[in-house]
Amino acid sequence: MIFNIYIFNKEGVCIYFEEWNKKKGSANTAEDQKLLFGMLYSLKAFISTSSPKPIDPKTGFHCYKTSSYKLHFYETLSGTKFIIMTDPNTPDLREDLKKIYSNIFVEYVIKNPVYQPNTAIKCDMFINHLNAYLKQTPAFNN
Amino acid sequence: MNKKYDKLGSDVFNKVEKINSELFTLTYGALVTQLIKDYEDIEQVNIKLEQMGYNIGIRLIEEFLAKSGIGRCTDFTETAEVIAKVGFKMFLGVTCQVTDWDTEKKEFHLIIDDNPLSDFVELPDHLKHKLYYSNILCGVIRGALEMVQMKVKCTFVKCSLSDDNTCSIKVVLEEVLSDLVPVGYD
Repeated sequence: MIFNIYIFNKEGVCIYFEEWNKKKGSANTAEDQKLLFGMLYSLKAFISTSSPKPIDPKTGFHCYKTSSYKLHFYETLSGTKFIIMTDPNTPDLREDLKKIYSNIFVEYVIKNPVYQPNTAIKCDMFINHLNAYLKQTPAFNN
Repeated sequence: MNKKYDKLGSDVFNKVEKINSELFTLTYGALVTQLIKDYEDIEQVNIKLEQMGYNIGIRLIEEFLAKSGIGRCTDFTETAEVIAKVGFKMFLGVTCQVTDWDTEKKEFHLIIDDNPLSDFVELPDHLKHKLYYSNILCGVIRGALEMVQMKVKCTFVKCSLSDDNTCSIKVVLEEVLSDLVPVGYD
């Protein structure tokens, strides 16, 4: 079951957030986003400094899991970060995150001349395609 | 290494959507002409073209990464190859040559043999060696590399429209930004 998606740009601004299937709403989403970014940033830094050999981003940090949720993480070379949170039993969503990046984010956000970098994504085309894509993945409602 | 990127370049080129190249060339020509009318000062036109290219570059890199599926380059020489063989091929349908490395491998020249932007173009004499007609390319390279943590300076050294034999862009690596620490998170 997919709970929510976050997209951060390279400056750490959360440019997109949406949630589904969640019973308990968060008290302060803006604060959550900041904390999440900070946590991922530190985690990534810690992972690369603590590793005995240089980390290949392809095999580096993919996800972590707690008893109640799993966080899937994908970062592009340009520093855009895609994060999806799901229930702990969901299989790896890395391929889906990559598809969201190349088929939806690039097509409907980056190529959209009205979209200003560093601002929140409000474009309907993106939102509709993202929702359509996620809702057809087996992980969405299981 | 070269062979690998030649192949990747043509694979990606086959994959991307194409538009009529004459339409593209003529549209670019109209754009440059309009800028010359608007600014009068040719140096301003060069600057403006570079800025436009920069704004294109910071978006274009995303499409480039998404479509080519390329990984992080190990060094600047590899980056240069990727720009010349994959980047140019993917967006302009031509490849260019990388030459004139300096000893520290921080500086190279891109030779564009067949620059599609300057097809059908003849510069009047008073603009030769002043207007860098394809200066937009410098901006694109700068913008795109900046998004992948490389700060570079790009300048036109030779332009085939100004009686030089070839079209050549000098790219200088100024610094590699480490994974940016955003403000307030350090």
